[in-house]
Amino acid sequence: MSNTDQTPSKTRPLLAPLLLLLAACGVWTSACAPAERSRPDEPIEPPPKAVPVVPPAQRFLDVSAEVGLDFVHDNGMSGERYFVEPVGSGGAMVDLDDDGDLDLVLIQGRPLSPSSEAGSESEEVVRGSRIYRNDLEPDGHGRLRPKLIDITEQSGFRADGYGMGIATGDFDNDGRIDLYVTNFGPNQLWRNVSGDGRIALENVTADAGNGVDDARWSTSAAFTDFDGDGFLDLVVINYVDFRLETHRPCRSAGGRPDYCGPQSYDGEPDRLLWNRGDGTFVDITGIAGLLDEPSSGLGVTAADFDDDGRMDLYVANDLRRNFLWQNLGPGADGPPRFENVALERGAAVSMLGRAQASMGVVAGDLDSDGDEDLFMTHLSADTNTLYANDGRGFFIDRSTGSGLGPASLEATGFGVALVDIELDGRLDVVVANGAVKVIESLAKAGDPYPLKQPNQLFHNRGQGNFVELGAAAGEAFGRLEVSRGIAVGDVDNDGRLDLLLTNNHGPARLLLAAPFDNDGAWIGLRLLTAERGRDALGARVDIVLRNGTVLRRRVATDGGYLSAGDPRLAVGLGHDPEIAEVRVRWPGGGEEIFTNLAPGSYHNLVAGQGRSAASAPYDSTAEPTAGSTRSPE
Amino acid sequence: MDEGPFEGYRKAIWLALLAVTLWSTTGCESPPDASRPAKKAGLEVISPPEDLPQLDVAVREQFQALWQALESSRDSEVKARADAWGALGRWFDVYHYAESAVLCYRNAHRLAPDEPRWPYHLGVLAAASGDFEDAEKYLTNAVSSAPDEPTPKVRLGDLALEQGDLYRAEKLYASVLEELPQNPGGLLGIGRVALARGDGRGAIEPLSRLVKLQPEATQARYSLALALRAVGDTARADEHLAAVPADNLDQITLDLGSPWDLELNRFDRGARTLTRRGIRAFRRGEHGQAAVLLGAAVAAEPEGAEKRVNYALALRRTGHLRQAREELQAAIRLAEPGSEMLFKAHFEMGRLLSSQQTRAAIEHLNIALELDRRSVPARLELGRIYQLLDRPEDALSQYAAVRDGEQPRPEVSFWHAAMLTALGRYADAIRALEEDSNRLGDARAPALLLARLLSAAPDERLRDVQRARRLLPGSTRGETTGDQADANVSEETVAEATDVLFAETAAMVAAAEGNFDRAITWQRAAVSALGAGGPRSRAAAHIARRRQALYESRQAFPAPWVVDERLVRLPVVPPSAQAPSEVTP
Repeated sequence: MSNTDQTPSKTRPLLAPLLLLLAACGVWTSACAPAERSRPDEPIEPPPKAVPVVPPAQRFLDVSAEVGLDFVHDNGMSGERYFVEPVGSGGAMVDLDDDGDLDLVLIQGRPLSPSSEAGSESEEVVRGSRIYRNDLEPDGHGRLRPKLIDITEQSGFRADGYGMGIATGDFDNDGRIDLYVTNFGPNQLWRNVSGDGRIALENVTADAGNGVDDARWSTSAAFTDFDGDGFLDLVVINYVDFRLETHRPCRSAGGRPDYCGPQSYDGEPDRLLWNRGDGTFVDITGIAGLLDEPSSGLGVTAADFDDDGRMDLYVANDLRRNFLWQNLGPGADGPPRFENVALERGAAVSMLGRAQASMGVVAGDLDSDGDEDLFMTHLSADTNTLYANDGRGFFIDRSTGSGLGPASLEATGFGVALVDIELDGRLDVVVANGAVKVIESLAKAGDPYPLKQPNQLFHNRGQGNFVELGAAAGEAFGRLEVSRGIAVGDVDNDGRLDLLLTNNHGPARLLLAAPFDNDGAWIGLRLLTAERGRDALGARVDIVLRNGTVLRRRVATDGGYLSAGDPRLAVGLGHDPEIAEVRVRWPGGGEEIFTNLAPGSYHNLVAGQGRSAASAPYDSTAEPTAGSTRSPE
Repeated sequence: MDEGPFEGYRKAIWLALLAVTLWSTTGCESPPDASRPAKKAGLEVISPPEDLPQLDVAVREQFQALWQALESSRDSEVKARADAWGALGRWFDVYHYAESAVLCYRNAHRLAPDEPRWPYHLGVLAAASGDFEDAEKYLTNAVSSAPDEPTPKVRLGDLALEQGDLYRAEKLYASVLEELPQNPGGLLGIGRVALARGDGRGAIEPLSRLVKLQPEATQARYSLALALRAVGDTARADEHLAAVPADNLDQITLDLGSPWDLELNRFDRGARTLTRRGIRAFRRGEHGQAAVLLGAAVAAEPEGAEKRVNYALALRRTGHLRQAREELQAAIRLAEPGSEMLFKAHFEMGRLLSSQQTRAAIEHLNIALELDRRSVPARLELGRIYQLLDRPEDALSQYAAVRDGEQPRPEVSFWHAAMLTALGRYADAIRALEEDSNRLGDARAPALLLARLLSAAPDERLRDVQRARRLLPGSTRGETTGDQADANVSEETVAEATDVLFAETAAMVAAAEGNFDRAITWQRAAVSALGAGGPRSRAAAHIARRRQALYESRQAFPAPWVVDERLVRLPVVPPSAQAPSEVTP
């Protein structure tokens, strides 16, 4: 998050009528978008204007008000231009009471004054982070609709620091998903002790080991099992060494007082906490190799980029080179070792060799070639970046020509999430935008908070080729706001991924994915460990269709910006949805096959209950070893 | 919210109106009205930036001159008017008012449609905002107006490349290279096209030529590294990667050789650019270079208080203390009453004088505190000076004020308790440290001070040696699960913790336990480190030697902290790593 962006605001053309017309005429299909238009022997002429291929409708509906989401973020603006103000906060979609639907957690800022940084009491209003329980209820049309109730006070959850981000994962293997809240100030670990239908949390930070309460300015965090020992480890991303008392005045190019950028302060190393398995963590940052690289991290995602069975780590740094921490496996004493290979693997800097102002990051198979690609968001006047994985953990910057790059130039991206809007098996991209530097036209128009920009939805046309849908994607994509985090999950259990959008110094929004007649089929999968049924974060899942298509997904709650999502997989299957089998590679090793999984519902796949993949080559006639089917409640 | 940062814009508008009013009422020339010539010619109407009064004086003056020139050009020939609009457009462009820059360039382009610079700049701005349609239109126009100028064609190639039209991009770059085989933009572009096709071998030739032409250009080096990696030549790829500076600020941009870009980049940015470059040099530790640049910034804007303060900071680092003081005096004179800059000037003056003229330093710091009662650095600096003056009560009052009003910070907790200790208020010191530990967690320095108090407080009732032992970092090693990883973590903790503060505390605890051999070993290690620490450690070394003598005479309870003691962070070789002969006294 640097303040060096330059954002000429433009009026977004109203694309919807044009798009409707084009779609109706069938002028374009997703298969007819050539990567290279002109031929070498053609004269140089301006290319035709790109015509997007889009599903013609409002894909997401803002239901915040009607379902009871009344959260408004407070960034504590005091007029001092503290560096923390424009960074925003995140949110989570997480089933805290294990009732089969996703509850919401919204992270809150607080008034910024030197006396408030550490969470001490002050006379100013401190709203604190909030938990909304989701009581799904029938909507009268045969579907379920979220009903949100703020149960923060009853839950015992008291997170009153200046909140930044959230990570979710069952660190104590008791089958309940716990919360880790990052702050501008000491972080907190909240153990989920819910029971009897009541959401309850207890703050176990003090007893969870040194470093869990990291008091630096932490941003994103992620739970994953780095050493395959069956316990979730925790990585905490830190930004820069800014404190209110080290606040310094910064200025624009012309000399006007402005927010500082990350290079005005020293970077901080991230922290890696190794789960001992007894409910506590040990700080292995130094041993693991992460200590010597202070930077300015904002986003993080854990995935097996080189397909060696070990979870690697990618960190998006703001105006400093990004990290790709390759997991080298355990040292002789147990904890894993990491090496930063981002530069030589092509994932540290842009094609021009410059560190970009990376904010949010996601990993996923964006080009449907069976490996983990990376996509991250940046400042306006710089493209968001798609790093395509070659399958061995080496990356090529494919922003150019992908459709993801140029369309991002006009906005400053923060949150990012992967969804499948048509359930066609291809991952689409949602980006939350909002500037960090004054937009001239908004300021001239008297906007008191002139940083607003529209969010973006990029439709995947196949083979890593995207087109931005503009306001046709829904009201939330035409609205001007200062958006930051996106948590993604199926909040109404209809197989479509919904969005929890956080806005800096503004209202959070719940955006429901709308169903359409021409959508594909879907299947929902929840991958659980054998003991106590913890979500198997990091599990690799291949959904093999009868037509030979393989859809690769990863179980994760991390990625994006300051936010955490649904650990369940909701996978679009397209219009030829017959599933031959589902192959699962479990964290820590072992591959299993599950069959007889019907589309249109969620299934629990439990480690040890599938057929061993080693002894079972693909056989579409094999006897079923189905996962348990779980209907949406 | 008291006042958002953007409240400033509203204020700025009022200030601008006020300035206009004053301008017209003081008999000065009336403010230029760009809308008049614009309206007259049917051109775009622009207005000054809302935040103009907040900009640097030199930048404001620059704008006013350009605005005047535009006003004066009303009756000039069309080309002169177009140039005036273009020049103003460049000002907006350079200072990131892209929308106003576009309006000015459009006016210039309308008045002089055959001039290639204005559509070129319009094209570049459109491309940067993602409006590729407009970018295409304007850059094509620039190519038509200046067919011999390669840069618009290169930019058109970049546009095609961004959109994935590799054939078109290649054709454009090739057409440039046909005329100018060494054109850097063409070479980079043709190399990037090959890379986008996965043709590493095809990229190596043009990019190698480019690296020979501009070996320091980051884009050239990095692109060539990608090409070499694509063909499996990782050794050479790594060489080029190593040549790319990690920090963007240290990187060198490819010089496209465009006279129009040069014209824009050389546009006089006044003191702000000099200041920015000076600050970068300062942060890199190049204080001499910083002083040159920041001094030039003062010359460009002699009335700028901030420029003076910045220059003084660089002068101080280069040892020119008298000059630094003069610059700070000028800053105090120039800064607006009650302003943040006036605070900064007094604060820096206080710091500058703290070692030589402590009375004056205290005066300046007190003025700074009157301007900002919440300033933690000013109070900490005052506390430090009072310590130097052997005035622990005054130092204590400063630390106490910070401790009461500020989030808990280890250094504040430490010095507050250290002064209480130095004043003999041992019970208060212990209580304060315990209170702070609830808020701070395991902050190291306060914990070590508490260990000292618990092992060496003169009042026997305050002592708790076992607890003091537990407060030493690494003391719980082996007491937990006993697994290997845990032990390793503790070893690292011990290694990190072993400095003079730790060593002397360990000695104090050992002495309190009656283990004088151990105490002497630790104390000798501390004395040895302090002896190698130079003149700045002299006072601390003196205190450490006194304690050593005490242990050697088997006396257990030195003062836990004395008023002129300093917190020295020199590393100490732990006794276990020393030769056996040194262990036994």
